[in-house]
Amino acid sequence: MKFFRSTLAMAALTLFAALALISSLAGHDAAWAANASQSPEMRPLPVGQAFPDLVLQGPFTPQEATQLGIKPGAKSFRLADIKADTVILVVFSMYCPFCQKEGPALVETNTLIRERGLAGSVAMVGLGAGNSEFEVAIYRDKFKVDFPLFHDKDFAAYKAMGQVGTPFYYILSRGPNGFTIVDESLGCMTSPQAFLDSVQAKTGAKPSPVQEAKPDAKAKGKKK
Amino acid sequence: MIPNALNPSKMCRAGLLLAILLAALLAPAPGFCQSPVPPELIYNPGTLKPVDSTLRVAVGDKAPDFSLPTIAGSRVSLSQYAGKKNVLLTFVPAAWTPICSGQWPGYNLAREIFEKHDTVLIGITCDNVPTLHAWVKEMGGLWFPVASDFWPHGAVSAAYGVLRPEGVSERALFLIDKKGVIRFIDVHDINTRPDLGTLAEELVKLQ
Repeated sequence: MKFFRSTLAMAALTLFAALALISSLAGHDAAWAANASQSPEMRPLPVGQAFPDLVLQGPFTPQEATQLGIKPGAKSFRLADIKADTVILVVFSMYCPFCQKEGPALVETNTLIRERGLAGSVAMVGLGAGNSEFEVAIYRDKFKVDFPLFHDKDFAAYKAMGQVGTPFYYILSRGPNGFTIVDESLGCMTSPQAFLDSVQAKTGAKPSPVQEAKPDAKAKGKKK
Repeated sequence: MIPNALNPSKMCRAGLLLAILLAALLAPAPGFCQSPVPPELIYNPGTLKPVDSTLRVAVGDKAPDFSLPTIAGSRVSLSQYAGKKNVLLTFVPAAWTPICSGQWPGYNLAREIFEKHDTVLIGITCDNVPTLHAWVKEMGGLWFPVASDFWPHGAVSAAYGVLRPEGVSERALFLIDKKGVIRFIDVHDINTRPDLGTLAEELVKLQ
């Protein structure tokens, strides 16, 4: 009996230590992801948490204004006013080599969204962490990015979303009180197809007609 | 009776301690910026005095010539571009530090902008060549020459007036035209990255 209890205690210790190690590694899995620029202060907002209702600064290109349903010349845009119920928000930096590598995949993902008839229900947006308007424009022009990219030179939005490494993906679903985080990942996607499959599986996004983008009072920052 | 060393409550405490130690070991280092270099390889000096040197050149001056070894195994001089290319000297403080590890990769994406304005870049730090070689490799490579101002230590940085007391250079940009005249200087806050937009405006003025 004594031997049994000793063995049991030893097994418990081993299991505890192993679980601690696995748990610790899992917690840092994102930070160690391949193909990502690291952020020492990365504290991603947890899945299940409400996403901050960010006010993103313009100016916006005419295409972006149309996509966002805001008046040309609008100075800011509230994330909650986005038309789609699912948002793929990619945090990037034009200075990050992995984000440079990811550019074509981002464009391909947005093409896939349209091809799968998801353009009315899934929207992609990007946030250039610490990037000026000019720097975001370099990235947009280089990869011909056809979805809205916001600049964030002073890191204000970046800080609000956990100072994550780049590229970082927040998958958001609309709920009664704004957007909630349903998934997140650090690092380049393995393939646009697999990435979008995963987004659809996590959010239940289905094909839906594109909602008419109406320039309206939301452009002035009014809450819904 | 269970031997003291195998007492379950002590084991739980030991396991807890182990878990805390592991978590501490794996915790990210303090700092603030994204970097393509893994965080465990980055030395974070913290927030430094924004500028800690006195310029020895001014806009309109002839830029001091130099010849420095590069990570390609060759040497680079300012005079080799005279009459052919505009030159942007980009001094950064040190390899394996947070902001520096993110600044130059951005110049890869902006390469076409520099080339459009007939401008070449020369990256300079006071690190030695092997250190710069490893650091640039870790960053994924750069299209422009990276030169070492290690020996005589910081001589070029000192000639331009951007050598700090601790032996590293400022985060500084010098835009030099084809005649070898300095057209723009930005001795930047060492803790932040210069905006490419400002630099692009200065490139346009070179025409």
